[in-house]
Amino acid sequence: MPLEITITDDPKEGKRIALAGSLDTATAPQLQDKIDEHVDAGVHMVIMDFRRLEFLSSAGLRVIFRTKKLMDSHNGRFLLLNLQPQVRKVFEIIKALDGMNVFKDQEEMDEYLTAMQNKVLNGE
Amino acid sequence: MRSISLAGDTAECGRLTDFVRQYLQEHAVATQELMYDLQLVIEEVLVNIIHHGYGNTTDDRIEVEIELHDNSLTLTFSDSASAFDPLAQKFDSADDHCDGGMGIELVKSLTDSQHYRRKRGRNILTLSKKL
Repeated sequence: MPLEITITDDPKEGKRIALAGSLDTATAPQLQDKIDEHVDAGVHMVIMDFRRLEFLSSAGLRVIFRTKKLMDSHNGRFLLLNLQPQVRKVFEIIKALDGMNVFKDQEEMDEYLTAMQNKVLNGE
Repeated sequence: MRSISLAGDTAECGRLTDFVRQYLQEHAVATQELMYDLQLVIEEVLVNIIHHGYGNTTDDRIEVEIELHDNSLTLTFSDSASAFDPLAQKFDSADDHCDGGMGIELVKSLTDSQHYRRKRGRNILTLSKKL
């Protein structure tokens, strides 16, 4: 199964990367290339939307971890959204969920972002 | 028991998965969840053998046997790379991006038993999964 990557810009959100298909050893380099091209220290937030991702292997996980590390390095936010159960299972097996901001859906993520914003406004 | 010979190239993952799916469909046990797990196990094992065993894409081949017995599926991978036990790779946490470790952690979690032995110059990895 191929990988389809759609990247959209949002002044509020930063970059939204929507994945569809399979993120595996064959397609992971494709995602890494896109991230190298679109994500740099100037990007304050990356949202990865997994709603249409059917399959994930360790090769894909490595690209995801590298992206998180990149965002952490300039205090950017990295959020994961809409993981299908079988994809979530892969994260759970290697205990990768703890270090990540993972949201069930857009609504849950919006609540989190609003809460974060309020914290900033309240000087916390 | 059925066997297939693969080229030492990760592009063969799809062919092996299709082979396994067909075998399981013939025995009417190919559920979506089972096939997802096996597709992942297959990729992680083949990538391990090719990158860590053989050192990269190779002309050498990988032989795979599949057998269903007593409601348990056994997959045996055999290759001619120098001695390499994929199960010996360590994985401490998701922070440890050691190439092979994460993949084998997934294999161990998605199968019920794993066994490596070296025999007549070949690495033999046997995995079994209860259906």
